[in-house]
Amino acid sequence: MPKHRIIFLTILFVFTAWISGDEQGVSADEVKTEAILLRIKQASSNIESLEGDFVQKKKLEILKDMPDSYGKLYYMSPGRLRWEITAPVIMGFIINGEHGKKWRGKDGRSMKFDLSREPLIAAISNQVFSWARGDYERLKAGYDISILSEEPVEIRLRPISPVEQKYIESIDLAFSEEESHVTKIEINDKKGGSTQISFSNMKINPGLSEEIF
Amino acid sequence: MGLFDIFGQIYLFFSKRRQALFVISALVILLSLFYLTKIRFSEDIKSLLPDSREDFLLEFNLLQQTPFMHKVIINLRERSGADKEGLTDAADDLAKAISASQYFTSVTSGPVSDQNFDIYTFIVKSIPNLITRNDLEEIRGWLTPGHVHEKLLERYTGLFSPEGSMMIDDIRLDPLDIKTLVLKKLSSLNIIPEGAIKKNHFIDQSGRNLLLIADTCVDVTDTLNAERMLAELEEIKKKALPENLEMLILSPQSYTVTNTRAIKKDLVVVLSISSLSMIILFFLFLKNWRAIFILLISFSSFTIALGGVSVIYSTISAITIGFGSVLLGLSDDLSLHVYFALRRDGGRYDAGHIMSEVSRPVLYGGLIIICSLSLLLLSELPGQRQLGLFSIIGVITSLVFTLVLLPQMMRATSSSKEIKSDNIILVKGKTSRPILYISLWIIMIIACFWSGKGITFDGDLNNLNYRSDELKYIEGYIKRTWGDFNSRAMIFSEGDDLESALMVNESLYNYIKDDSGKETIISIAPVLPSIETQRSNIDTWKSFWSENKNIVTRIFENEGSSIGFTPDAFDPFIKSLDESPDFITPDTLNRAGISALIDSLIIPYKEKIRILTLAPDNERIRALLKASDCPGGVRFVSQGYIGEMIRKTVGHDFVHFIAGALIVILVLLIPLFRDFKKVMLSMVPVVTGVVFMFGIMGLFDIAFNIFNVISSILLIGLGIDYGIFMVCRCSEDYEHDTDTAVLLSGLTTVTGFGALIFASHPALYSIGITVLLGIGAAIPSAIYVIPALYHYFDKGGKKVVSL
Repeated sequence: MPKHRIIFLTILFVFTAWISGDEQGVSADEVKTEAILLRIKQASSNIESLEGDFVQKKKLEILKDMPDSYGKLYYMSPGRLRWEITAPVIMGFIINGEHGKKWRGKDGRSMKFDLSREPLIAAISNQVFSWARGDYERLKAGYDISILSEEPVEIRLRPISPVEQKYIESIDLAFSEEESHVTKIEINDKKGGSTQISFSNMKINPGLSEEIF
Repeated sequence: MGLFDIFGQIYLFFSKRRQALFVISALVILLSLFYLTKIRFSEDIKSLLPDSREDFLLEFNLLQQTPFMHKVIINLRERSGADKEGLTDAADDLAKAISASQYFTSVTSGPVSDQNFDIYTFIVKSIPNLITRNDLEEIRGWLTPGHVHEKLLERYTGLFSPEGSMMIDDIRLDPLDIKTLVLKKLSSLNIIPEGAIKKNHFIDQSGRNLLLIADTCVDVTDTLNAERMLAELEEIKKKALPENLEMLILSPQSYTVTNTRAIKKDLVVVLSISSLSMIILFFLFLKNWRAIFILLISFSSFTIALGGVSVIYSTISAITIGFGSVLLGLSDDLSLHVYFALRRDGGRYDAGHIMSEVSRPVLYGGLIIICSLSLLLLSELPGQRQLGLFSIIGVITSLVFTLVLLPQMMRATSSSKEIKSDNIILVKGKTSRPILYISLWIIMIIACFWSGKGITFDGDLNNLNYRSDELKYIEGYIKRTWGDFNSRAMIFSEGDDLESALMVNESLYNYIKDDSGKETIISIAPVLPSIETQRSNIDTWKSFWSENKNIVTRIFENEGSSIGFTPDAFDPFIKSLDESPDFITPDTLNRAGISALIDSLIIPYKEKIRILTLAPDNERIRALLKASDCPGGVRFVSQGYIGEMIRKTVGHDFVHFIAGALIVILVLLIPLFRDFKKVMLSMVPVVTGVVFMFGIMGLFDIAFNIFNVISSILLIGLGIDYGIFMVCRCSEDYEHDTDTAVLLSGLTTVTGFGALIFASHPALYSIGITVLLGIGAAIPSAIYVIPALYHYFDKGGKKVVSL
């Protein structure tokens, strides 16, 4: 191929790429976000189930001092989640597909709930499901995503839906070194309070009994 | 000259003016055909209601004016259960498409609240307006350190949950959870007992069904636009609905359209079958081209009757037209007797003589039918009166044509050759085995009398509505999925303005609330009291807290601090106790997202306001609302109540019709026969038909309704005809092939009525089945039992005297 023709094709290619990039409005940040999301997706692609402990720290304006709470998390693909606090109080919830159930106290009495009416439970479970499944389209549809740190990966989500916006300012997520799962979630609410959940002892693909959910 | 010789004279008069008679008759028929083109059909259910009672019509009008008459319920169902998420999106798209239609004013898919004022805000802000003296007594019991500690601990524990931070405002504003008392009041607005609100949509427990409620501007009686509206919904469904979703539509207009379609289809089927069977029967029995005269008289009677009714009534019920098949079968009964007499005896006697002889039973038979049908004109139901008039005009036409026109047509076309070729199937002969016939007849009468004791009357208009299998399925599905919100009684509280209507509504609610049993009363009274009541509640609330504010502040400080709450945690609550809230108005509720329901329950009517309450449709509520201490300005309407009223009217009419018809018969039969035995013998087909009809209806649990009650009159009128002809045939030297005429006229009547059993519409079907039973028994009793009984009387007693 003649040299001038190669130069021409190269210019044409660069120009076309520039034009199309401009048309779609893809910024450098977005490209970076996409790349990181893709990395996380690849790292978490083999996750079928998760089991781990967590510590929850809350800052609430109406309490003098709120003690940390401790609990366990169980996840099973595609849409099952058990979230339980075991100390200092007993409570938790289970999401099983469309159905939600929550309980409070030792007597174990539970009540069904509608996920759409529990935006904070929905936010937590959505995070777990989306990151475990690599369902970034869903995340991108619900949140403005920005990268806080690349190594280790830290991401900030700001809700788009008016219902979530009413209560949630932002959700910050920190990922494990291998980028396969979330190690910390921090939910900042509109009133200035925050909920920080740190995960530990995470087991990837443990054998979980169906009865847990 | 005897009375009946006049028909011989009439015959002679017209025999010289035959052409003129034919021309006049043709003109009359053409005129009726012209009026047929102007007929307007009506399926207005009002024609089935007694119009003699203004209060009853007023109640029915109230029922028709409720906004529910303009609500279209649309159930969206996710077929596979795999894409429940997509249900709400699809519903929103569909709602948008429906809202754009000219037939709909709005579509509700869930609570539509103001961005800054949702149902929660309404509840919390309305506590002082809605909490009653009784509620405050309950709250008084909560104001102990122990109870407050327990409540605050529960609230504290809740803060550990993921949604805990959302609870902060609520804990600060309502730490005692007083709003639960208001929430209970809101349950009085739960019109969809099995539904829930998810993602701001009405979704059932399974998550697979979503409810849309569309408001249409189409009136329930506007058949044409109802058809167009439903057709448009179908179009929208095709365009906007994803394949995995199914759309079920239920509205009062669905019933209108289904009924209209069914009746139109029935009219074609029934009139075709009855016409065709008549032609076949005539061909089989008469085998003479002149049988067409009888058909001509029958069809002319039908068109003249319809034309006549259309002159008097602006609209004609489709049921009346459906009854045309019966009239076809009825009107030939008289002409057949004249036809047989003229054809058989035409060679031996002159037509004038034959007419003098045959006119007596024919005229009496016709008069008896007309007099019996006249009783329908006394009915309280406009629909029955129209049917009565239609049938009377038809029978009079048939009678006049039979006695005046038919002899001229027969004579004008007669020839000796034809007379000899007549093919008569039944020939008068000696009665054989009379004891056997009489015994079988007595056994049948006793058995049917016994089984007919339990006959019932049904006033439920729903049972006279045609409901296709599809509509029944949709009805059942929606009832199972969302609860039975369609069959409640409606109670209207009326006032000159909103405030006075609300006051009546409150009085009503307080009057009935403890007597509704397990079923909820749907009322706005608990959430929208009158301003006067709200003012009183607010004053009581303030007075209560002025007494208890210091105590509760101290308890909160002590108990809150011991659990870990900050000292100012409950300041918003304490501060709110001194505030004066705004009054709740319909607009407040609209902003809170329940506008669709509020608009349905508050109905402006002329210069007044009516507020609707939905209550269980049971005896207890009905009795309460009839009691003397029931609040004034309240009006109760329910389908059950309307059904009960119609049932009573049907029962009342039935007794009057039967008694009236029997009196008419006796009054006409006594001068005809002047012999008790003959009068009694003439009654045999009537008694047999009626008792057999009762027996079979009792056996198969078929109830009388406003339509098949008419059948009993027709049965009496027709049955007595057969009796007269057969008694005349047995007792006198009177042979005009009466057996054949009775059999053939009976068969044509049976086919006329029988065609109605092919109708899908319950009203037409019920007329068909009942008269079919009656006539089916009356004919054999006339042909076999009357001669057998006559034979027995004739042999055992003295000779029956003929007149």
